This record gives sequence, structure tokens and C-alpha cells, in this order.
Amino acid sequence: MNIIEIKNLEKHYSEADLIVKAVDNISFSVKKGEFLVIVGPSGSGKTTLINLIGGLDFPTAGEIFVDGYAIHQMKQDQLTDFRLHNIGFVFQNYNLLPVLTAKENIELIMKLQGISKKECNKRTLDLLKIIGLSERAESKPSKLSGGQQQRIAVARSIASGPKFILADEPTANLDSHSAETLLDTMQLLNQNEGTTFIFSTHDPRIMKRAKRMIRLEDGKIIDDITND
Amino acid sequence: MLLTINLAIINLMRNKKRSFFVIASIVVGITGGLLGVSIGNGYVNQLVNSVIRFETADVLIHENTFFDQMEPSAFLKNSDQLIKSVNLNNGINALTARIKINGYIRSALSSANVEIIGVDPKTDRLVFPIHEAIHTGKGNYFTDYNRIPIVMGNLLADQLGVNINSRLVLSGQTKNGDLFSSVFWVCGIYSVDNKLFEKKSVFVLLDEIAVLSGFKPDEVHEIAIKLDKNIQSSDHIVSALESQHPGLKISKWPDIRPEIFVTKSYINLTLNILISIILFAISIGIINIMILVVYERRREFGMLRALGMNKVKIFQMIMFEIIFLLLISLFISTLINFTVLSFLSQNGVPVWSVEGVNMLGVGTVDRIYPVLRWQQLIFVTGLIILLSFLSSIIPTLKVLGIHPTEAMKN
Ligand SMILES: Nc1ncnc2c1ncn2[C@@H]1O[C@H](COP(=O)(O)OP(=O)(O)O)[C@@H](O)[C@H]1O
Ligand SMILES: [Mg+2]
Repeated sequence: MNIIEIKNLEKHYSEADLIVKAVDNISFSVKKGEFLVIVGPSGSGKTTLINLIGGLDFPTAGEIFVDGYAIHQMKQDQLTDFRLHNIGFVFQNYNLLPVLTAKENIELIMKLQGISKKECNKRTLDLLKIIGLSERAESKPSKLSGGQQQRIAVARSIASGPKFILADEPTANLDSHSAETLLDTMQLLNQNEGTTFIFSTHDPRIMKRAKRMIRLEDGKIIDDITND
Repeated sequence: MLLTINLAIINLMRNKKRSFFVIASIVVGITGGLLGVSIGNGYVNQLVNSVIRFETADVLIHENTFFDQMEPSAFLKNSDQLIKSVNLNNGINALTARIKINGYIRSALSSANVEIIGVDPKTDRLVFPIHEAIHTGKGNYFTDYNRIPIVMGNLLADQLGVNINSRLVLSGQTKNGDLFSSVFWVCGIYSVDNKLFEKKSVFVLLDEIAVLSGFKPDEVHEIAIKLDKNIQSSDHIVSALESQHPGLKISKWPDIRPEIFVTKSYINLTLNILISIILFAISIGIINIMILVVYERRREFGMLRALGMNKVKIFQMIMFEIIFLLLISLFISTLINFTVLSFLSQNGVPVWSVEGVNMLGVGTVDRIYPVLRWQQLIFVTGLIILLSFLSSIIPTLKVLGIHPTEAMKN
């Protein structure tokens, strides 16, 4: 079953007289449970594509279906609600609210969704155990390493039970050891919970860990490889 | 809702120094406003109390044309019978009958126009506590005298240059329109907040003035009624009396002193406008601070938007932050106000420090004893909640204008 379907997607930016085709006629689909990496050099359109799939930006043309819903036709408010209930995000830089503890950050989206306090608590403690950060539950983000912060962000994105998780260069600011650990965590969740992951990177060691790799260049797909 | 309240509280705590200064400046504004309101209330209360206590009581009965003609001939006949019949109504604490004649008073030094009030001290002191307004050393209210007594206000005594036991000549019109003139000796000197009254009202014994002006014992101009303490409004008794005695004029203090009634409404309105303007100015300040806050936390707001926090939740978060700032400030201001008032309500504010107040009104007071009404606190609280709501709109729009992907870029 396809969880994401993208058809002839375009995103153009006009800079001065020049039109930049950040995403240029892209079509592909993603099945439930995939572990998909989007790679490509800087400026190839990875971020733009991920923002479009996540409903954070509006396409210039083309169609995006998430679980059958045509998100390219949705209005701002609908999209906001859709993101809350369907899509998990792990951002590159700015993920956690500095004033909340690790545990409260994980609970944030569940609380926005209106999930009961008891259930939030149980799910958060389980996830903290899975990602190996139980003892840091009450720490503020500033007291956590970059890698730990990203793992908390992954836990938060998965806690709310999204259809898939989008992560734009989640390892970009991490050292290689932390990056590997984060990937371990993502892979574990992909295998144990069946969560669909779509993430981008330009780190070759990270790419290798994906089951499927889409390679972008100048906003176009130049490769779509699945290795088992 | 709990989440947004929680986030609002956490956000207030994160920059304690700023929250402190914001609250401190709001407290200054609200406390100033509340004190101004309290002083205004005190002034109005004292003025009205003074009018009711010493001049009009709760209800007055006159002959129908008494106020039109201001002639001695507009008097109530058979006052004994009238008093008996009025007394049959429930809720009446005391009543007294009075003769009221415009007159002229002359001392060795000076003279003045006055209103001569003829009283029966036994019943009068049950309705009007003039005896309480006579300080020690200033004589008494017809309890101890040797010669024909008169009681007058301190202002008038000063003007006439007289003191206890001074000799005066009082003249006025008789029932038939002739003139009478007679000698009186000052028996007591009173002082009240209602300075117009203090300046023009003199009291003599009913029997004396009746003889001088030719009235029979049961002919008077006015019956003044004091109601039982537990009666909140005199409206009921007024309408009862009106239907029982259709030929008579039944009045309350606003009918007798409309200028004070107007002053009261005018001051109340002014006070509400004053506090509204202060709160409005505070709101403008808060809007500015919240816009700054949104700018500082634009990445956070961008992230929250990206994660799916909708505009209602954003609005709530900002609104609760503002409401808490204002309610905490209101609470502190109220505490300060009560502390200051508990001091001032004993000592009063000398009028020289609030000079303008006397110019507003038609009465004057020496000292103002400020009070705050709980209705006004409720009004302020309501206004604060309304303004918090309105003040949240612009900052929320600023947040909604943040593009999440732009906000979170490097
Ligand atoms: N907001 C924008 N305005 C103008 N041009 C943009 C904007 N965002 C991205 N671009 C352009 O789109 C292209 C793709 O950018 P991006 O998706 O960020 O690539 P990547 O994430 O692979 O580095 C680049 O040429 C970039 O300059
Ligand atoms: Mg990028």
C-alpha cells in the first residue's frame, strides 16, 4: 500500500529574473514501512522536496497524496491539522522547546492531539527506554548532547503515531558516532514499530544504511535504488 | 487548554527579569488608577452621605407646591395626623416634622441669607444626627441653653464672626407674608462635609419659630423620614406614600439636590473612563512586548507551527501569557490598594492634596476617606480579560505570518 504518492511535482523559486526549479517534475511513491533516504549535493532540492511532502510548503504544480489525501489542495489551516495528526518531523537544527524537559518535549505533540495524560506518560516512558535515554527524562535540551537531542526529537515525532516521519538531514550537526547511534534508533523503530522513515543526507556512510535511496540533482530524480 | 496554560506559565517564568519589570509597571498603573477611583468614590460617598444624614434623610414629604413657590404658605396641614398615617407603613425608623422658612441673619459684624429650620429636638435627633456634628467646645443641639437658642454651621459662624452665646437677629416671612424679627443666642455650632448646607442652614426650636411666623402646632413644611437600616432602597416606600397621599410631594435626596446626583453619576463615569484609559495604555504596552517576544521566539513558534499547533492554540498561549501578567498585577495592585486604603480610611486624604476634586462637585469636603467598591474590581477584572483577548490578536497574527521553514533555517 502506498502511503505517499507524488505526481509531476514542481516547486519554482524566482530569483531576480531567474526561475530556479528547486523541484523539477518529480514523481515517485512510498510504501508503508519503508526506510528511504533522499541524497544529493547541496542545493539539489532535498529540503524543498521534504517540505512539500510534509505539507510545510505549497507546490507550484503537481500532486501529493498522503494516505489518499490530496494535500496539495489543502488550505493552510487544514494542513496544520493534517501535519499534527499524520506526519512526524525531525528537523536539522531546531527541534526541541528549550524550556521543556526531554520528557515534556516528547509529550508535546500528543498533548496537542489531546491524548490523555496517563497515556502520554506511558508512551513517553516506553519510548525513552527504547531510545536509551530514560535517565535523561527530566533534563532540559541544553543539558543534552546534539545526538541525544535528535534522538529525543525522533521519539517525539514517533510518539504521536504518524503515518510517516520526515527528517531533513537529521545527522548534519552530529559527529559520526552520534550519527550512527541516531540511525540505529531510527532503524530500530522502523523494524520494531513499522514506522515509515524518509530522511535526507549527504553523508555517504549514512546513505548506506537505507533500504531505498533516491538521488536528486538539480531538482530531478536521477536514481531510485532499492537494495535488500 | 491545559497545555497552552502550562506553556504560558512556563514562558512567563523563562525571562523572570522581564516579567518582573512588566508586572511592576502594570502594578504602578493599576494601583494609581485604583487609588484615583477610591478617592473619587470616597468623595462621592461622603457628599451623598452628608446630604442624606444632615439634609434630606431617606424620604421627605412636602406640600405639592413647596418647591415651586418657596413661600411659607406652602405648608402641610394636620401634620399630627399625617405623621400617624405615614407611621403605619413598614420600615420606618423615625420621623420628624419641620418648619422651613427663608430668612436673614444679622450679627454685630455681618449678615447672611439663611434657611431657618424649626425643629423638635426630641424627634429631630432621631432622624438627623446634627448633635453628632457638633464638636466639643462648640455647644450643643438644644440640650442645654438659657436664652432663645439657635444652632448654625461653622462656616456661617465664621462669616458672621460669632461664637457660642453670641447674640444674633433673625428675620423672615410669616405665614401671612408679613415680616418677623427676633433675637437668638448661639447654642451650638456644627460642621459637616456638605459645605453648602453648613453655610446656609440654621436650626431653631419649632415652637419658637411657629409663634414668630404664625403657624399652628400642626402646621409644618416638611416631614423627614429615616428608614430602617436593613432597607436597601427607598423606592418601595416612596411609591407607597405617593399612592396614599396623592396631593403631597414625596422626594428623595436626588430630587432635593439634583446637582449632587449629577456630580455622583459624572464622577462615577469619569472614574470608569480613567481606569479604562489606564488599562488601554497598559494593553498597548503589552502588545508591544508580546510582538518583541514573538520575534525573539520566532524559531520556536515556527517549529510549533510546523509540528501542527493551530492558530487557536497559538492565540490561547499568547492570551494566557497576557492574562496572567495582568491578573498577577491586578492582584498585587489590589493588595497594595487595600493596605493603603486601610491607612487612609482612618486618616483620610487632606483635600489640598487632591485640590481638583472640590472643583468638580457642588459640595466640598475637608478630607476624603477613599473606598474601593467590589463592583469596580469586577469591572476592572472583566476589562482586563477583554483587553487580554484583544491584545492577543496582533501578536497571534505575527506568529501566523511566520513561515515555519524560513524560521527554522540556519
Ligand atoms: N525560499 C527560497 N527562495 C529562493 N530559492 C530557494 C528557496 N529555498 C530553496 N531555494 C533554492 O532551491 C534550490 C534547492 O534548495 P534546497 O531544497 O534547500 O536544497 P538542498 O536541501 O538539497 O540543499 C537551491 O538552488 C536553493 O537556492
Ligand atoms: Mg537542505
